[in-house]
Amino acid sequence: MSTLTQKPASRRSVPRWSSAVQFAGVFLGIAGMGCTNPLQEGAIADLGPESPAIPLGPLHRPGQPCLVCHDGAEATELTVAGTIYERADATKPIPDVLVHLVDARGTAYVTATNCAGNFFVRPGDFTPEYPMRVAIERDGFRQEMESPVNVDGSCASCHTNDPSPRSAGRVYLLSVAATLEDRCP
Amino acid sequence: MRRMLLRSLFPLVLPALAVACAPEAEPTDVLLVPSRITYPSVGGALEYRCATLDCHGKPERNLRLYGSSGMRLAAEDVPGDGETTDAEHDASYRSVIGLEPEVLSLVCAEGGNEPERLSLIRKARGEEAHKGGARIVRGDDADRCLISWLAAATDEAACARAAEDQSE
Repeated sequence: MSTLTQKPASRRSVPRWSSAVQFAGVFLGIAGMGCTNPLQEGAIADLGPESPAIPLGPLHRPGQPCLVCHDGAEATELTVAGTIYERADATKPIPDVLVHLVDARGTAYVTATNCAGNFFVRPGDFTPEYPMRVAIERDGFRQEMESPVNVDGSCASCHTNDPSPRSAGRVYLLSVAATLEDRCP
Repeated sequence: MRRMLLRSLFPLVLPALAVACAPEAEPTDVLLVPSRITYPSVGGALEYRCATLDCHGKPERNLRLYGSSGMRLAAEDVPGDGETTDAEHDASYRSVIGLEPEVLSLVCAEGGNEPERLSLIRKARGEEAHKGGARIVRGDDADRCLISWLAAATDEAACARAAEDQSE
């Protein structure tokens, strides 16, 4: 009569660092899922794709709410940014418009629009303490924003292309008949 | 033995439960609110401080405020055009009084005493987490305007100064 003896299975020797790596992987995975912002993702998706004719950079996406992406995580952080057009009812952007910003501390900062009509401010240059007053000017024409900006540095969050009960329409310089020199190619 | 004990306690338990669940007093069905008539003065003081399109001039807010420079009520009106309409004052007033109606009623019933019981005041003063930070300072014209309104003694002069001050 024979008997079969079975040796108890030896425990596989697993290095301790392996389980630590697994734990870290799971933790990072969960943390990564927890850090997504569906509202921001939705807002970015709503902006649509890049125009194939315009490379990523200072000239892209005129008229869109810049800070939706430019938050320091999705793209380079900006504190204030927007697009300025010649007239309320026209899509022609204007360059060289001076944008005057004055915050609650009385700190003033001036920047200017580029050929897409875009302007943007980096946090190292100016981070406003709200409320912030805004005025724009070029060639003797000037517009002052009636109400202050209280929390949102993206002009286009409130200034969408079409006026409505929720939007004053585009940010524009000229409200009288006038012609500005065209300084862009 | 245990069964006997339960049987003897049973008649006592039911009335005790009934008492514990009964309301202490009948709730009143009348909630006090501050004046609608003087609200436009208060709304004027709040307009640039609170009702801009990037703050409470957004329909997503639970305190939704309308005004000529912010969100408009009528489909044909746009921000920055014309005056705040009576319907807009009415809508903003309803937002304000609808925020914490029971607490508001208590504050009104006590002549505006301890208005900081209201989130409206705590947030406006920056004493509670508020994305817009402190928009009024305890004792300034806008604060006096709001507090006096809650006390049914609207300080029209303070409201007017507060509305003018924010236009600068």
